[in-house]
Amino acid sequence: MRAATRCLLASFTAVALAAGCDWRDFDTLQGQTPVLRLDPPSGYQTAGDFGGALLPVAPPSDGSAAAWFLASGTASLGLGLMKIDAAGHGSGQTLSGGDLNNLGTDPLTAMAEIPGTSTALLGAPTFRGIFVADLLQATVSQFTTSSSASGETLFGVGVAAGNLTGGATPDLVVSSISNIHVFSGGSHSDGSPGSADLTACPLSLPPAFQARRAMVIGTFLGSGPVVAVGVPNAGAAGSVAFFAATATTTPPTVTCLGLLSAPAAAGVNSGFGSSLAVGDFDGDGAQDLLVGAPPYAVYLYKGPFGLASPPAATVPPPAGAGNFGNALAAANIDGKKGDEALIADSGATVDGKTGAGDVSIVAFSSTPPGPTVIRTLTDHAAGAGESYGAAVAALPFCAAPPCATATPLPLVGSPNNAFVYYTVGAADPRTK
Amino acid sequence: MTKVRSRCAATLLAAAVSFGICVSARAADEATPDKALNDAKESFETAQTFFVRGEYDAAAAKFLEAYNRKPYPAFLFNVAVSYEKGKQLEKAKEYFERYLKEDPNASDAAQVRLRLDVIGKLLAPPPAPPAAATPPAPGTPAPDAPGTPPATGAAPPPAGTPPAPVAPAAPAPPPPAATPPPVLPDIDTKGLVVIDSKPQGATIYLNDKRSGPFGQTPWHGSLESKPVRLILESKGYKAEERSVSPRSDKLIDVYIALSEEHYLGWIEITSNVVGADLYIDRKDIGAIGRTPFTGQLKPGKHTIFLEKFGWQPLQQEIDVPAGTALQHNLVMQKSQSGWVSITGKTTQGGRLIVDEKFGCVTPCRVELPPGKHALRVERKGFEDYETTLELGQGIETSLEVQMSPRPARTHAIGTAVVAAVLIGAGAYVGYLSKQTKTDIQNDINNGMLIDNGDSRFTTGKIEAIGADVLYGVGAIVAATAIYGLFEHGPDSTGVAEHHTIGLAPLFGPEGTGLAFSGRF
Repeated sequence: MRAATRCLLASFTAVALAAGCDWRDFDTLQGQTPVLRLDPPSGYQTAGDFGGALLPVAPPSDGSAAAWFLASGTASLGLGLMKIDAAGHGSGQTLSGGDLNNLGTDPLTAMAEIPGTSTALLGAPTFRGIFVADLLQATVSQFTTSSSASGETLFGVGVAAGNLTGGATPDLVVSSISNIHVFSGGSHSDGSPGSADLTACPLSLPPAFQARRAMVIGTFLGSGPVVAVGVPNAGAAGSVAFFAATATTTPPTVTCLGLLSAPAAAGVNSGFGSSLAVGDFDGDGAQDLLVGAPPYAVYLYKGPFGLASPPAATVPPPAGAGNFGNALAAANIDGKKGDEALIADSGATVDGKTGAGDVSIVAFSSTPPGPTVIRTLTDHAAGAGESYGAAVAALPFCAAPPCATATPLPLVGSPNNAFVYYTVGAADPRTK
Repeated sequence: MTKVRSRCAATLLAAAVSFGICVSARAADEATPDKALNDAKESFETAQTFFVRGEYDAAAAKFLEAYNRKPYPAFLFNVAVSYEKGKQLEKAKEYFERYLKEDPNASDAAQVRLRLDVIGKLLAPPPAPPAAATPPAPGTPAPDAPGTPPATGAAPPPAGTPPAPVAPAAPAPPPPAATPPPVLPDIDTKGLVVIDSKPQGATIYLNDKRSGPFGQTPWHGSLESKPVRLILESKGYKAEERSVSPRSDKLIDVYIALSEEHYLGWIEITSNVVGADLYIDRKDIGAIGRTPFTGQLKPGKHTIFLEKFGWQPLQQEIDVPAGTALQHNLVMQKSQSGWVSITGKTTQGGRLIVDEKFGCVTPCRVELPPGKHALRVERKGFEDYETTLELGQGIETSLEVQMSPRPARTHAIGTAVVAAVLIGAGAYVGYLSKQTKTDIQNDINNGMLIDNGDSRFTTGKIEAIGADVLYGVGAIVAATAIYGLFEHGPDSTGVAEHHTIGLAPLFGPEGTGLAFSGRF
């Protein structure tokens, strides 16, 4: 009888345990979600000011991460280096100390990847300085200038990096509230436009747009690399100024190529040029320029284009838009020829939640390049005023380096989180 | 107190006299032919009257007169008691001594001797004064010494003893601690029962014949003061019965003239087993006696049954011719079986199962063939007691079983209900968890862009952990309940004792024979 009792007890316990639920299933499932939501890393300097500025960087060749990017606060100093492994799991670390201590609480609002170096150029306009972040070393050092450029108001409000002068080393372009400076090949001495060029291409930046200036380097004018500088206006239509730089002299000569004025819109198109993106949207092999004019529209200028040319396509704001086009990015999401435009609207109303924000993925046909919204991204648990889409970018993902072409993934920022989308494209690039 | 008792005795006397008349009236048609006994009886009753009145000297004289007419020692006893009551201790002593001399084997001889000791002490001269005290002048009577019986209740001094002097005025040292004077316990006269018959030599039984013969006529003596049935039997005579109520103040004489009984037969049943229950013709009315047995029987065939534990029952037909006396010696055989006796207070109302068959309701005894037997004692609410016994022929195994209470199941049932609720809740919460997981999986499969921060992950995890906790706690509680349901109390225990029952040769001064013997 007692042996039977013990047997019954053992059987019952086994059945009870077998009937239990494994909560780790949810961990597994959580690692398989199509969207990775990233919170600020431990020790992040400023709560609620995390994803307002995002800078994807090409994945490291050593395979230490499948993708990585910098996330910065826009109101106060906060800088996180976020890494994603091949399985799509995220991690992050807060960058602090060193020269960042010079900033106090001044934010790093402008960021640009220095191609091929796993480094990034960071602008601190209120500090009037620029910094270089080494992602491999997870360090940040201040970039000192030999001229008086750093004395200009909001020096660093816009930054860009790329081959502007035709040298072997990427050039650094930094703007202030009224000027731009080109540091050729990483030189600490800069070249700036002359007064006549600044008259032709005025770069004044009204207070409403002084958080960050849009700047991109591309060949969309057909005359070699140029830098496009967004010049939104106050009470008048904004514009985009184009500059070229030559390295035949040191410092380089920076000249104005002209202005691209805002098309007529429903209202004063003062926001024209507050966001820019370069990509081959029509798939013709030439770089095109996407100009945001929040809240009215986003304009596609099919390269090469003339400064007097009208936009090749206009993407109107959808219903419920609030700040349509506040951030732009180009990424080949669908794997087909031509890039898609990621158009952020941080003020969009989603499911009745004002200011929740969304991001539209827009494809352009080659002839004519008519825009088609192929998908709209939102926070699945969106809340009113979340400002999802405060930043948007294309995150190159390489699960197993070397990758000939990293898979671009939509990267969307909000003040509290960053979102990486794995399944929007043709294939999920994560390692299963 | 003495006066009250005397009044009660007087009241009783009236009742006793009337009762005595009644008894005498019954005996009238069987009047004893012994004139001396009648005279003695008359003197006895007169003596009792005096005794009740407190005229002890007269009572003593009348008891002595009764004795002179019929020398029953009890009369001497009553003479002594009367003198003792009359404070004449020396005479009382004399007659108590005569009583013992006449009937040294009397049932109360020991008490009478003790009484004589006390009377002796009371009659003894006072002890010499202590050496420290001033010796009295020669010829001066000694003052009362410690230990001298007090005047009240004390025996009077012997005749011729000078009266006690007055204590001297001179201061005396404080007397030593006084030894309490001996006290005579209360005493009463003795009643007498005289049983006689015609012819004499009839066997006397008291109440029934199962107790065996009490004596033979003529018989006299004292009996306990309670009603008793006398049975007189004599070979060739019809048995007679009488009921009498002996009393301490009565002389009851029973004289029965037995009538000859020629149409009955006289039997004497003896056996090698003494004390075996004897049944005649039918057993349902119970045993009518035990071996050895004598009695009258109607002529004709009769069936005799003898039964005794440890022996095989015996049944035998006998033929009883009228007017004859026959002796039957029946030989019983030792039983071939063994016995198991289950005892113990805790076995009350239980069941004995022997070799998986019902044996008896405990406590009980069962007869079993010799060999190995599996025994189990069951009782509701108690743990079973199980054992295996090897029984031998003629051996009784006494099993003293102490049954252990089985724990109550109420608590276990309550615990089981709680366990069921917990497990049920666990199953429900587990269902919710699985449902949440399915929802998430479906959303992923359907291309919904949910992220890892979806609140359903936390919800699902909490549900899963909650289900596991509920399962776990439920399992523990259920295990406790199951344990409680099958929990055993302390084992019931038993102690076996083997008693060998058999015949053993017996050698005594009056002969040899077989008798029971038991080894324990």
